This record gives sequence, structure tokens and C-alpha cells, in this order.
Amino acid sequence: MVVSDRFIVVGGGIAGLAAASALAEHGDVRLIERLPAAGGTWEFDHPVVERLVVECRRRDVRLECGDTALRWVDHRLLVIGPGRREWVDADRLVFAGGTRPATPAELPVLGCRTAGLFVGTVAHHLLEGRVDLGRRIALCGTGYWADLVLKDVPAGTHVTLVGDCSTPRPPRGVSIDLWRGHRPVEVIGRDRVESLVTEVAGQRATLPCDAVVLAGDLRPLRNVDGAIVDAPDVTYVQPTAATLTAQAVEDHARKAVSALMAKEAR
Amino acid sequence: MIINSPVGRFPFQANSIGVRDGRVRLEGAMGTWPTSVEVQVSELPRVIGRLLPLGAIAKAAGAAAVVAIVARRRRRHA
Repeated sequence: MVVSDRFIVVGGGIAGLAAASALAEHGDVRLIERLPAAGGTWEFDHPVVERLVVECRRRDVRLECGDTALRWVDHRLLVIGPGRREWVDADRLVFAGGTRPATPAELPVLGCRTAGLFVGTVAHHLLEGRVDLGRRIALCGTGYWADLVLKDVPAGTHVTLVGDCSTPRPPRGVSIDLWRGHRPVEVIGRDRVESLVTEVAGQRATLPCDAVVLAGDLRPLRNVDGAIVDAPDVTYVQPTAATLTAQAVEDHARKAVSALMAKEAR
Repeated sequence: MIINSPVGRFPFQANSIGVRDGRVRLEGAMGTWPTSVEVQVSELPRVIGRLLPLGAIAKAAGAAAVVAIVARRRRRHA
């Protein structure tokens, strides 16, 4: 078996930085991050991010921020950026591209794909653009995306949190109630969402609402052609638990690299 | 400096500032991306006006009026 000693890590969040640092003990490492600074959803000045960036630099990891990885084929990664289009050779791709909320089809949530049904990522962008999603929103899920959506909900909106939610602090003028333990099952409505059917302990309940946001049940985000599905020369470092501390993400990445190197050593 | 945008929150390292063609130009880097900010001189009063609270503007205008009156009287008595 060929032992890898040239690695490319895609994703400069905590998982990618920790993986790159750990891989640097075993070979040459380049880290590609599409945004102009490392940190990902944790942001560049998070203490763990700052520590890992220093650690990566000390271990000669090449941090290439501001460039986008597009395609992985024949042990080469196509990277583009401002003034750059390059095929980078490597033995192994380590993909740490983060997570996204599950779509209605993935959960699955039954019913028509009617107006007022949003995945958390879309809801977040619409709210940032000051687009009202509805007056009575059912926000399903907990964690990063649910928090992002909730913080931008405008005053005068009522939000029902559905699922394993903690007790959040809503924005001023936003009222909330909790449907703990419920999971979304079906969206009712023809032209627009009218209600959400949920299930808890085998019992169904109907929640009247005019918008449903699916922000939980995280799935690994895969956006590099050739590394969308599991491949023998790709390792994925994408923890999907809804609420993970920075330290837990770092530990997950280091364990994934240890497991990879142990497997190659066999 | 820090730049907040819908794409994210990034560090901005300012490297130089100057005036060219009636514009204040701040050059630097947002993370790894070369970045510049240009402000037209005509935009400055509006921007600065937004920075100052209304009371401060009223006080500044009042102070300017007092200074103008005093200066006028001094010129008359000179």
C-alpha cells in the first residue's frame, strides 16, 4: 500500500486546521480555504483558531486562504483564486468543508414544496437581506444554523422551536415557545405553508404556522467535484453533531488523522 | 480593523492611506485578498454627520456661530 506523504486539506475551520497540523507530522501539507482568512464558522479570532494557525505555521503547513478547491481527480486538485488556476498534486485529499442542515427530502419531510418552506442556510440569507419569512415560524433543530436564523428574525414574529432545542434568548420583540422532542414529519399547505405536522413518542401534533425552517440534522457539506461521495483517496473530517465545542471539533479531527495514518501503516 | 459582511467577518490590515483624484483611498488586505476602500471627499460630510449625534452637531454649529460673531466684533473694533 502506498503511504501518503503529500496532503491537501480543504477547509480552514477548526477541523481543517487541526487535521493539517496533525498531518504535518507525516508529510507535506497544503491547506486550501475559500475565504480570505482561516477560521470558518468559528471566525478568524477564535482562540482555538488563532492557536491552530500558529501551530500550522510552525509545522510548515502552507495556508492558502482566499482560493477555492473545485475538482479532485487522479491525485490532483484544481484550485482557483484571484489570478490563480492551478492543479495541485497530492497523495490524499482531506476534506473538512463543514456541514449544512438537511433538506426536506433528506429528513424526510412529506408534503408539497410550498412557499414558506426553507432550509436553514437559505432562511439565514433571506433574513440577512431583511426578507420576512413569515409571522409564525416553526424553526426545527438546534445548533449553529438555528442560532443564526433566530438572531435575525424581526420583531413581531412568533417562533416555535421544534426539536431538541435548548432555551434560547430570542431577539427583542420576538416571542418563542418550545416543542421539545418533536420532529417535523409533514408540511401542510397548497400555495403556502399552513401548518407543520410533528411527531413525538409516536403521537402526531399539528403546529399552525406560515413558515417552516429546517435548521437541524446536520449533513456533511460536499462541494468538490470528485470528492462528493466516499472515495479511497479522500478522508472526510466533518463532525455532524448539532452542538460541538471548538475543542471537540479539534479532537475529532486529530482522531481522524490518527486513524488514517494507522490504517496506512497497516 | 475588522470588516463585517454577509460573507463573514475578516481582519483588515491597513497599509497606506492617501488622497488621489479627490478621493481618500485606504489600501490594505482583507485576510489574503488585496483590498482598498475609496471615499469621495463629497461623501465625507454625510458620513461624518452620521457619526456625530444631533446634539453635538447643534453645539458645533452654535460654537461656530459664536466664534464668527466674536471675530466680526473684533474686526469692527480694530
